[in-house]
Amino acid sequence: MIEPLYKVQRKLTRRRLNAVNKGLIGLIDIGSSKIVCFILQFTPDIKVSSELTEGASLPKNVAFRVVGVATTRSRGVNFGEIETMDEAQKAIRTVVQAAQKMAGVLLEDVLVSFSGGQPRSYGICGTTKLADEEVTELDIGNALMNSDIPDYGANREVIHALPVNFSIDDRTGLIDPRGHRGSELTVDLHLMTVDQSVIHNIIQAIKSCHLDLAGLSFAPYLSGISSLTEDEINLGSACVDLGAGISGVTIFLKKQMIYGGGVRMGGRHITKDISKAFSVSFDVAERIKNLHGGLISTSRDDRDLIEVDSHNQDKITISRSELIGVIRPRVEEILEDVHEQLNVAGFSNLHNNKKVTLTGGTSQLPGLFELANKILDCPVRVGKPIRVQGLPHATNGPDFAAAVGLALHAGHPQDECWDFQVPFSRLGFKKINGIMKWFVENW
Amino acid sequence: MFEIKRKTSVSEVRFDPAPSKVAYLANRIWLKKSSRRSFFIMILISIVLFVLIGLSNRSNFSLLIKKNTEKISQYVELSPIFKVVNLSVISEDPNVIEKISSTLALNFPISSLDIDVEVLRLKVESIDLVESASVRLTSNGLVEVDVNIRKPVAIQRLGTRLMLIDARGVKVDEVLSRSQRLDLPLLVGKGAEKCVDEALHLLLEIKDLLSRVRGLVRVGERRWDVILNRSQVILLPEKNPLNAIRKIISLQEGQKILDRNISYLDFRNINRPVLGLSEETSKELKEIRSLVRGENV
Repeated sequence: MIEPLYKVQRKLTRRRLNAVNKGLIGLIDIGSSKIVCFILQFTPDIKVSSELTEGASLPKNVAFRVVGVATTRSRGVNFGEIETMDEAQKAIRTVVQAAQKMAGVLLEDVLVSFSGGQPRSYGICGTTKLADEEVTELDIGNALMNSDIPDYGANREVIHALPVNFSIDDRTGLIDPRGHRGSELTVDLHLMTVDQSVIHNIIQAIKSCHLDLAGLSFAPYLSGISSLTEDEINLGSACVDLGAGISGVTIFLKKQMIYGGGVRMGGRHITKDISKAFSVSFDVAERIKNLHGGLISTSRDDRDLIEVDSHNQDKITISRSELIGVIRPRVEEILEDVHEQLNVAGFSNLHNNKKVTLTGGTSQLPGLFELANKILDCPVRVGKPIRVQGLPHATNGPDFAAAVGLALHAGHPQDECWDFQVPFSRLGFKKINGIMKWFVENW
Repeated sequence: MFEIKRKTSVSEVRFDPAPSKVAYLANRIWLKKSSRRSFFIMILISIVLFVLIGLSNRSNFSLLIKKNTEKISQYVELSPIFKVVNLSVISEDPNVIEKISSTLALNFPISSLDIDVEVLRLKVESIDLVESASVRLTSNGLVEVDVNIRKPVAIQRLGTRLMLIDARGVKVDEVLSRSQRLDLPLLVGKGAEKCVDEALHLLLEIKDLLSRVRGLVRVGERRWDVILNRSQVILLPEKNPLNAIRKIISLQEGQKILDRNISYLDFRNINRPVLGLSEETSKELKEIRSLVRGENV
């Protein structure tokens, strides 16, 4: 029986810090279409050039460099979850070995990100009386401990528990309450849970590849970190990570993730639709989608004919508008689901600060911007992750947003509740709407 | 118009890029610095061990090499290129030829690789008769020995043995009787062989008297006595005996001194030569003197 994740989180944090101090950490992003492995080298001496930091939210004090990059087509992974253990292990071995070869070092500690496991977000509130009127870390820990655990279910695991807001008496919106004076400290906690089995599978896969797990993260959250600008994170924005199996949805406000969820649909479904519609193989469908896919059809597209091999070796000819006709409904469906989820999360309460950033591999579809604008009913942009030192250009597209986010996260992670002195034992339950409302009202 | 071709058929087996568990683990172990270092250390140790084992078995090893090389060398040695079939001695004297071939005692045919020319030369030169020799191998399979034969110039008598010696006093041969080499002068006495040259010069000066000379005697390793027939002896000085001889010869030519009845001529002191009469003659002389002077001696 594997221990609940939150109990070992302190150990994982320690391992991550050790690895960063040693100067070497690996990142593995387990996606539905590809598995990525980065090797980061932390060197305090690297001077990050101003060109790189311009307009980007590069974490301060930690300079790192990507020394090894490898990607492989993912196997045995579906909806961001490991389905076939053996195949997934093979894929992980492939990327790890390739990245090790490129970097010429042995990888020991890895941070893993994944997007599956049906994530659920909870907003929780914890309160404590201040003993000597000055807030210390212990008070924060006490406040966290006093928060009510929601009944998130026996077969689920907490993967993120982020203290997102602190308030002392009637002052709120504090980022760091330490040193403040007051009589009562309230902490708002953002709790994210995923399916236990998903986590266990990932831990098992990493273990059988002789790697040490140093942390687990939710991939759409990381995509948001890497693709959103500092202003967007600060003022409030949603990030939609359109992956192959999962379209992750995250909402950021005041530099904190306040909501995380996902739609179990993605680019792979589009490919499947194409494959079914024109009765071509999956590989061919994927290729058609990448080369000729689009969402806005024009009259010229009727004359754009694509000749492809079908299942029974005969050549068939399809027009681009036909292709768009297949792709568009699925994308609309995905975006509508995303919109619904954003609404459920209370994104519409952000009023005129609503902004959505699309990343992920599927966001490269031409015409997505216009369509998303229409469906999500708010300003949309297609975001690319910020540049990271040492990363090859080919791995800097929106499809690598989660991996780049993981790199940023590795050097400068958000405090989680288990990073505070008192380990939390109980957490209360509240609807995410509550915390959203609370935020909007008080801000 | 675009065309998309299917890249792989269904039946085709795809290459799996994933490393096997063992290969992956081996790769990780190899990447570890310490394991890489220990691997090299292990290689070093095994090399050292190998060498040590090899050294301990060295005798066996060398024996093995010897065995194998012997076969090869035999094959090479017996090849016609290296075959030596005969000995040729450049000399007219059959005695010399026979002596050299018996000394060398070579069993033909032999390989030229087995022949050490220097050793053969020393062997040939160890023969008394040979003064110097040169030995070489010719291309037509001969051992060619060129010898420089010592020339006997005198006979030396040591006790009852008669030796032939050359000008430097080195023994050349032995003869059984004096009559075998009547052409050579006889030298007697201890140390005579050291001054053969002087003796020969003396004999050259003697010239006409040579027929009367029976031999030279070295006295006390410092001077010569010339022994003539009719029991006459000439005692020569230590220094400059040639002068003394010349004086004697001139006396002989002028006064036929040696034809007279004297027993010795003492020239040891050249300024005061002494003439020794025989006993008989001196008696006769006394008688004559008493007759002439009428004295009773």
